[in-house]
Amino acid sequence: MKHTQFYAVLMMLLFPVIGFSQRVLIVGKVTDQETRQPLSGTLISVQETGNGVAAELDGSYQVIVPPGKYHLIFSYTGFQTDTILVEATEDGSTIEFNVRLKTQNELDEVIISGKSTALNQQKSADNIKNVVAAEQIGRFPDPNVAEALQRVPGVNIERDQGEGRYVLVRGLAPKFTNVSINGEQISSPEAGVRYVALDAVPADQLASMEISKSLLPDMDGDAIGGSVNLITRKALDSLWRFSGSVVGGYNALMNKPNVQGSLQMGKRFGKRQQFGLMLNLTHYHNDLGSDNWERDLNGTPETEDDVLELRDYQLTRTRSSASATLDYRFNKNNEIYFRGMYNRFTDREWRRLYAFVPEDGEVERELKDRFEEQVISSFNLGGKHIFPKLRVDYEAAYSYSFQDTPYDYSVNFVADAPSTVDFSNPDFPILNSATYLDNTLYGFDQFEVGNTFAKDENITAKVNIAVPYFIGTSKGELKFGGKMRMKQKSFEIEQNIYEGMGNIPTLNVFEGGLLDDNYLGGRYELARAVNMPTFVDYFNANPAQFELQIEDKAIDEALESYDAEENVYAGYLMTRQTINRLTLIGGVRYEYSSVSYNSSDVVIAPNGDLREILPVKGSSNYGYVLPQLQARYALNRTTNLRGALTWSYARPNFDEIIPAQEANLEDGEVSIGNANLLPVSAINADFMYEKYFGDVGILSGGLFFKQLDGFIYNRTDFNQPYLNDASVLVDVTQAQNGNTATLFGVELAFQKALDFLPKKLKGFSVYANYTYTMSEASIQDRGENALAGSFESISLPGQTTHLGNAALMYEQKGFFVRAALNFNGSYLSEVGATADYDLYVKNRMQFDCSLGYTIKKKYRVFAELMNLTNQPFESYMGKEENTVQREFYGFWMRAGLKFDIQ
Amino acid sequence: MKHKISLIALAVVLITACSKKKFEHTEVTDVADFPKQLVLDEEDAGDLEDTDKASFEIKLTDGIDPTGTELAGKPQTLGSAVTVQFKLKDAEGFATWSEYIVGGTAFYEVDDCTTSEDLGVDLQFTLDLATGIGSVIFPANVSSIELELELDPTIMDDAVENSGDRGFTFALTGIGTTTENLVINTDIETEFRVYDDEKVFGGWAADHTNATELTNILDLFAIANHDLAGLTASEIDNIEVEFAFDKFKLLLTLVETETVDNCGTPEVVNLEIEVEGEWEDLTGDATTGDAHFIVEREEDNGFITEVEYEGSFERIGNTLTLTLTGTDDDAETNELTLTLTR
Repeated sequence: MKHTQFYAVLMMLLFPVIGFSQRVLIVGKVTDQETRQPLSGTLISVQETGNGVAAELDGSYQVIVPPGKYHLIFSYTGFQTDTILVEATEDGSTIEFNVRLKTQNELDEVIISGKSTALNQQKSADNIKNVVAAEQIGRFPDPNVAEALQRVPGVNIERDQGEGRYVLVRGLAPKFTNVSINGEQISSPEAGVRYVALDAVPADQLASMEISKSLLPDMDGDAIGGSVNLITRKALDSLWRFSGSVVGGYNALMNKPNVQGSLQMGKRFGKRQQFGLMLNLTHYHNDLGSDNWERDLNGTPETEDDVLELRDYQLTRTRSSASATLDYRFNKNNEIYFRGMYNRFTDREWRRLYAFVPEDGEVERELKDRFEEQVISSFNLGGKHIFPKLRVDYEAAYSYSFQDTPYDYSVNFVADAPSTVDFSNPDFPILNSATYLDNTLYGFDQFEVGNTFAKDENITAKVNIAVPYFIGTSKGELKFGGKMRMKQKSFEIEQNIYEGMGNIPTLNVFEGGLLDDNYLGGRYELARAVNMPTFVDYFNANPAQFELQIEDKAIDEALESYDAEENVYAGYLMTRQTINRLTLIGGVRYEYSSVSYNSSDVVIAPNGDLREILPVKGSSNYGYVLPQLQARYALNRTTNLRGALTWSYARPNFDEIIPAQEANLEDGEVSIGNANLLPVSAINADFMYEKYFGDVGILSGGLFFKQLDGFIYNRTDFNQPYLNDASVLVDVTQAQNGNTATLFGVELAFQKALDFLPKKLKGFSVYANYTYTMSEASIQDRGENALAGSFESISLPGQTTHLGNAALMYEQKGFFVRAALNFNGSYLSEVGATADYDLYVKNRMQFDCSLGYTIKKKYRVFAELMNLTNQPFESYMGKEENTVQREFYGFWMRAGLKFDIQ
Repeated sequence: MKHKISLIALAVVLITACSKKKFEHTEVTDVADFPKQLVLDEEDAGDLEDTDKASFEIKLTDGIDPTGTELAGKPQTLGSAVTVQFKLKDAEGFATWSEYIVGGTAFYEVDDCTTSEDLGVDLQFTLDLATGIGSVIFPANVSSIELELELDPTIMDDAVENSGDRGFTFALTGIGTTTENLVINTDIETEFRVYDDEKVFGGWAADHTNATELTNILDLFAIANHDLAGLTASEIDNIEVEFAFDKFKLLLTLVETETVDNCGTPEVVNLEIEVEGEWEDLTGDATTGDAHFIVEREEDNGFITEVEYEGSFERIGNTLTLTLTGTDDDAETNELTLTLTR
């Protein structure tokens, strides 16, 4: 035995091509005996060798053994374990065994299958990851993917208008997590960044979500925080299966309804059910809003000169999505597929703003009206082929995303209206202004008309080849592959600013639209704002009174527009070796990136005139060798110990690396992209203990440590001689690589039915997780008097000390009710020019509730209530007492019917 | 079957909902379709009471330079001529237009030395002195034209301190039929003000041969123009200070000369050093009051520094006493008094 283990380890190190001779392929499908649903993640182990594999999403499995007699053990959490004797005598043959497992108890199978599918996939995974199945997602009131992810251990989210948008995995900012659909990274519709706003993707489009927290060599290496993979549905049944929902709701702040509908339908066709078709449609329409006050610190101790902004938001958002999966199985060993997903998110926003500027004795008014459309699409065409001596899969993928803002209008008026603001009350500043509500005092200031188009396109091709081998009876697999991804990203902008050139009427002539008469709970009174159509009609009818600011247009358009191309080439070699209860995976991946870009330098002369706009182009190349090691040791059939030592990195955002400069010499401020910026590299160590309960639950605890080198932050160097004009001193802000940062965390999760309670209380269960993280990052001292070579410590942006979820559920006889808490502690959001300007997001706890009743297993009526305690978004600058934003959303709810029929 | 019909209906609803929809809004005129604009130059005009002309400029606003060379915009022109109508109004200090205005003309500059009049181009200037209404042709391929009204210099030129405002207002009222995508701004009006030379307005001379006076002038204004520092009386030909409604100007003429090209003819002129500021607060047309004006100083590296002058003035007969303190970001002069005469 010792010899076997020695050889196995040697195998991992040397990848010898031995032991590829005689073998028999055992294939089949594992399903629930009652519902016939596939049981993906079922662990199939060979008693005689200790080798094991996990069933795939459709329940299919493949086991390779040398000729002989074997006992295959099928274990699936929540189901009775089944053992089958297989006689595999004929070398090179394929044997089929389909297995149907029985449930362990009388709980509702539909409910069990969702949770258990996820947990079984998680248990049998090679790396440390969380798997969340569609049924689990549906149990929480989370309409989009970001919000569904917030329930996962170690995942925090950033919100926009109360809705989840970006994910932060294990205390690291969104740019440290890559997001894939069906295993391939998707492009980002937003300009300048790589990360994806996940509020564009409806949660009910998915079959499951995988959040990998340690990397395998066959995974993309640019994921320090984690890798999120969104998996769409696939047809599994020979009969048409329809499921979906019809939902209506209500937003308390806006007093407006919302509607949602979804429909999934799928069927396998053909005598051998060889062709599968799955279609999925969803649409969500939501009228929402927020009441928000913000404080603009003027940078001096005299807080009475700080600007107070009152922002009243009104939004209409839609989220529409369509996905399709077509797959064709030629036989048990050969399959091709096409998966497509199209997500469209629209956001119409009206922002009614007051800015009280006590220093100038002025009050500014603004109405912003803009429409934004985000499309994220992903198309994958690939195949999987299993041969007796090797396994091949390949895929070509195309992802196209864009953010189109066809109109972004903003009209400003200003009045001479004295005001005083007392910020000593951090919850609600005390405002005194006698005349600010008088619309006849507000004169026209300017009208901005803009439109933008950002696009990101990925073309990817990859191939993976796996070759099984044996050392004695220990099965191993040598795997290698290659991948290339061609990315093209660009941003176009048109920005027209018009100033007045005549007797444009005062604001009262254009007033109209929504008037919020209970703004921030009635603490501040608002007058009616500009009605944009009325103003635009006037503008169109009186063009002689408006003058286009040509220089401003040239500056804005040159500054922001760019195009970039990034080509990534990757290859890897890895092996997976099972030695009794121990599974070792090791290998190395190499990724080479080549980036080129075009943009513009804009220089505003000291006298305020636009001096020049110069084209700028450049390129950079870098490569990373990424060793990855994973180990899983099964203490028993329900308990795993895991460990991982992995290397990863995170590419800079495009807006950080493109060396275009915005030099405003008049204001003495210059910001320059940094072409020499390196990706952040990281070494990650992970340990995890997982105990799976037979009644579908889990207790897990883990530790993780990350050391980041060269993490990126914006640094300002004060009073520097300007490049081409040394007599001009400027403050230069540039993204730079910091020194080393460390991140340590503890992750705990518990999910279980409280079956120890008396029979009358049977049905209670708990879902809870908690993540503790601490970080320390070293950066050069900031501030005007900072000494060269001296350093200061900050926490990593996005890292929150405490993060967690707690949910209590009661499910009995078709009835369920769930109360859920989601908590995140405060964290550094943006690194400022000095510590006084560091922006922090305050801690937040949201309370949601859902309840429902299942009728004949096919229908479920339900109701969901979100943000019941009206938790605001809050942030502060420098010190906790310097609250700079509080945004309230009210609560919202929805109710409806879900169905699942054949 | 009912199920399937319901589900198909749901699918149709969903597909419809997913279709492109951008919500209703009113589209702003595209910048490419934004019309050319004829406007009146915004600067208020004015001159002393013995002036014999009043000028007004009508121009097209700058447009986007399609080549991207002129970042701040490029002068626009018309493809075909258009008639511009204007009106004189709000006469003050005289009874009828014909009393003060004796004629007028319109022209445009071809270059620094040539006007349209030199080329015999007639812009068909008309002015009905009974109503104050007139018109002029704004020709093709021209970005601005100038209207010059001929005034009777004797009407306003008196020897008394006038208590009320005097002057008139010039306004554009419309354009004739045109195929151009063109609009005219009728909101901007230019006020022609007649300055009372019995008050502070007009030119005043400083005695540069008086050492104290010269030192005060140089100390006071060298922070606004460093070229003044270190000048001696022997280098100076004369010093004049001008007060207009919204402008202050110190003109120091040197003894040193240079030869300049005056439209092909060499001309010897004295070198001049100028300090020009904008009044923040010139207290009315009085003979005494507060003085507050700002001069912009351009540094060698291009920065603009504001030099602020504050003080008072008092006119007694032909003597004007000006007491000022000048300050910029780094320096402040002593309070110094200048005695000016005319």
